[in-house]
Amino acid sequence: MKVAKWRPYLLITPAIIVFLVFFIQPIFYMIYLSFHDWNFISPDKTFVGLENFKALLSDPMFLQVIRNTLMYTFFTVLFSISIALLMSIWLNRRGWMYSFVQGAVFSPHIISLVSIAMLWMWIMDADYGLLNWILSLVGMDKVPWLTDPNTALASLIIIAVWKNIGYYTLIIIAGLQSIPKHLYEAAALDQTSSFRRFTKITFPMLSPSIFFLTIIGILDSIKVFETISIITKGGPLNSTNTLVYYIYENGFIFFKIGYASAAGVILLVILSIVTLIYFKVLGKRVHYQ
Amino acid sequence: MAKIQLKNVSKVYGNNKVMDDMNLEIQDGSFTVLVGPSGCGKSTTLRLIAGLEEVTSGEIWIGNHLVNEVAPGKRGISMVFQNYALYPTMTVQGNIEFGLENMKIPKAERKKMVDEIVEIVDLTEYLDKKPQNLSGGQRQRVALARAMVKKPNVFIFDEPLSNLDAKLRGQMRTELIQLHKRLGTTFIYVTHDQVEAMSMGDEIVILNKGHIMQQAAPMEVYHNPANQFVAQFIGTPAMNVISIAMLEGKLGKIIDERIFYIGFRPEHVEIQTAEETTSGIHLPCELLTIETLGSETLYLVNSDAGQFQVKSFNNPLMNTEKIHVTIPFDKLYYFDTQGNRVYVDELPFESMGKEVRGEVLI
Amino acid sequence: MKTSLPIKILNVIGLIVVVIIFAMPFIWMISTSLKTLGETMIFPPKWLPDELIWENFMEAWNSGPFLQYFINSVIVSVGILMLQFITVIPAAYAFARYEFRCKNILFGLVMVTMMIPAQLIFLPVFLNLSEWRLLDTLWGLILPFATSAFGIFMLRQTFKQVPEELLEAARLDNSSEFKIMMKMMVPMAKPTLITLGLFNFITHWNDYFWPLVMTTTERARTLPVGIAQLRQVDGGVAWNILMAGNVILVIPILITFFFAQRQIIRAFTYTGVK
Repeated sequence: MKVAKWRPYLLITPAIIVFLVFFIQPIFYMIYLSFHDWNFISPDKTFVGLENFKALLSDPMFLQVIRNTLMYTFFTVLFSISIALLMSIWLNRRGWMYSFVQGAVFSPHIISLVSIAMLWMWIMDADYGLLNWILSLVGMDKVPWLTDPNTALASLIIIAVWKNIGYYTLIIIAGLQSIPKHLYEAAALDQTSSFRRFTKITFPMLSPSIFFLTIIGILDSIKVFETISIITKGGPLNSTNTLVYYIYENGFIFFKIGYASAAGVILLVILSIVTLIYFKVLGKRVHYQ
Repeated sequence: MAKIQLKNVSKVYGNNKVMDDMNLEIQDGSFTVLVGPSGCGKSTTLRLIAGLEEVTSGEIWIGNHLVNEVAPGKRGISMVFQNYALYPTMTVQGNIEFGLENMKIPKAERKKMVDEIVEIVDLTEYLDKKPQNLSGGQRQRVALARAMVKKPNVFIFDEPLSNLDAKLRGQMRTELIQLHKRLGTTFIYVTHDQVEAMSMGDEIVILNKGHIMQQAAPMEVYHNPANQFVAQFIGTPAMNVISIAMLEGKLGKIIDERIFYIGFRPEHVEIQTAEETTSGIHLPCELLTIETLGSETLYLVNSDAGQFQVKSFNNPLMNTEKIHVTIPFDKLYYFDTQGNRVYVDELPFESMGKEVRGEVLI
Repeated sequence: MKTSLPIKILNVIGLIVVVIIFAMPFIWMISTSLKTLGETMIFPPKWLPDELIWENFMEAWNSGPFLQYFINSVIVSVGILMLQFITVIPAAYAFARYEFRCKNILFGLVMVTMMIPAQLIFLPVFLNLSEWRLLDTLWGLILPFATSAFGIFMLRQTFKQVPEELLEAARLDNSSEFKIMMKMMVPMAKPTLITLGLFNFITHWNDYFWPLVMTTTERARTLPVGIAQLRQVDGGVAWNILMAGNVILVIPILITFFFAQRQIIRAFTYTGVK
């Protein structure tokens, strides 16, 4: 078929321009800024080489930010996946009851993080919150969920897991439903115990879904911002300050553009590594079919 | 008016040359069937004529126009696809009308043309249905109507019957032949099924590996194949071809040195039932398998010359293990080492004298 | 296999507990939004207010230029939606149906962009927008999302599944390439487009991060940013007013979810892996 040579380029041009202007150029601009000192107001950007990175890595606050981010990411992903795995095996059934429960579990995923943050702020309120009331029912003391440095990060993880579970569960259910029935039939003929059926068939066949969720979970958790910005503002005592919020603070509140950009470059490196692993493994395929 | 010519056409996909220097002429008003095994280049030929692919080199002429640079929609061609390729989001009416719409034909006129066509293919009551809600046969008719409504100079069919069940296929075959008679337009029809080719075409083009093996009328192809490939491709079961070396002792001295293979059709082999026999090659055979097909019976036999098939219209020979067969001399085909036909005026070997066998097994 | 009755009952109780865990917060939100301020400061908490205080919604709505926020939200969500269709459909079609030089590199660019979150590039984009005088405008909220790598990826998969024969039939019917794209491919991709539309609309309706960092005054702020500011009104937090504001934000989404649950779930759980 004869197609004018320029036609496909014409079709993709609008999209490509948007990508270049709003995604690709900013990445390079950020890398450029990370080697400079600039306060946004002065016309001059001073080249400082690696000074921003040196300052970052010797700043105990930044190191704590990194630690917070990694802890938050690790536990959010771990709990989300483990709980979702159990839930999906339980909820993977037909019938209106199950589809209703699946819908209910999924609903937090489509609600604005603003509402989720404020709702949980209220539920976790130390004096009048619902959560402490439930604890009081079983005879426990009130917990200052969001105002104590020891529990604030954990509280944010609980909120994230609550929001994530529905999404994770539905992805795993889709994975479960794609496992061919004849595998289980063969296993039944071989008199396989239900435990071995899970470890030898279900889990390996689910590994692509679980791998996908791990990557998505990491990419999603590492850029956490909304709940922190609305609920804790990084506090108390910096205990919930994470990477994106730190970049925001330094860039938008302290106007340390170069410094914030350097932190951005570190985020870029982390994201690139995770993405690279994703595509590498995807190339090899975590697949058993 | 709409004679189609391919002049020195080659087609290369990457490093794969699927068609090499092909010359083909399709007469105006003919029903030409392109037939061959898969990968023979028949579909490529079709797509080149339709303009869905570009030639790598060579020229394609439709009527008096060189169409190499003409867009498919402007070649005056209609095509019926193997899977019908009906537009799933449009109704039957929309499907049939789509091409007319693109030709900027006014609405009133369009309506008249569509009505006329659906009348012919008997789809009037289905105009507002979507293709998904039609049966296979009805979809086939929509595809036909869509092709016909444009009043093209050439119809192209790409294995259009292969998705239908056997009964419907037979019926559609007849209808297409009648349609061709009525319209008198050039039909080009691609199939891998030689029965379809024989029964429908008034001209058959047999292709193999991007080359034309033979182009002729169906009976000519059957009676007078140009080479071993055609001989074995046309006819069921295929022609038996035996290396001449296997027949040593059964024939006299071979005079014509070009001959390497001897071929004969299963239906020409005579099973010996009486003392007197036709003059031909006599072979004692062992019966290996019998396939009874009702009106005819197929035997696979083994002889000194190797295994071959025999087709007989007599009652099947049950409980028989050994038979004698005669292959009449006048039904023999000769091929050279390349498989090309060797034409002879008289027997290319010395006769061993008329030997009549006394032994009759049946 | 038959399950015994006690296990069945246990199962149903378990399901109810799960629904409570995930739905209760929303019910709590609605209940709080109808209480008096005094009723929110009681421990143990009251489940239902004595009297339904509908005025809370008016108070929340009137505590800022919420009509402006609402209109901004609609313009931004709808604007992004429309621009994305304009840019995504042709690009997806080109990547699905044409061969051209550098196609793989360009598609690689799309895939890379899909992995770049707004949270990574907001600072340099902010600086750019301020340079181009687009800061604090609706354009600054719309243009960066005028196309979607995810959308191109998803729609390309759909377009690729359309049999080539259909396009060939259309070409033989003398159809222009543009008409093939708009009259044949787009109608066939309708389910995907609905999915994409829902995904985009909900995502950008909910978005808080981008409007927060790209606006400095209430001129271009959207509903989520406005709602988030409710908590800074007085000294103490008026939970009833705050929750009323959030109900305004959440209800449209929950209603959409109720009616289009299947499509929304399909939209948000699309992984591209079949």
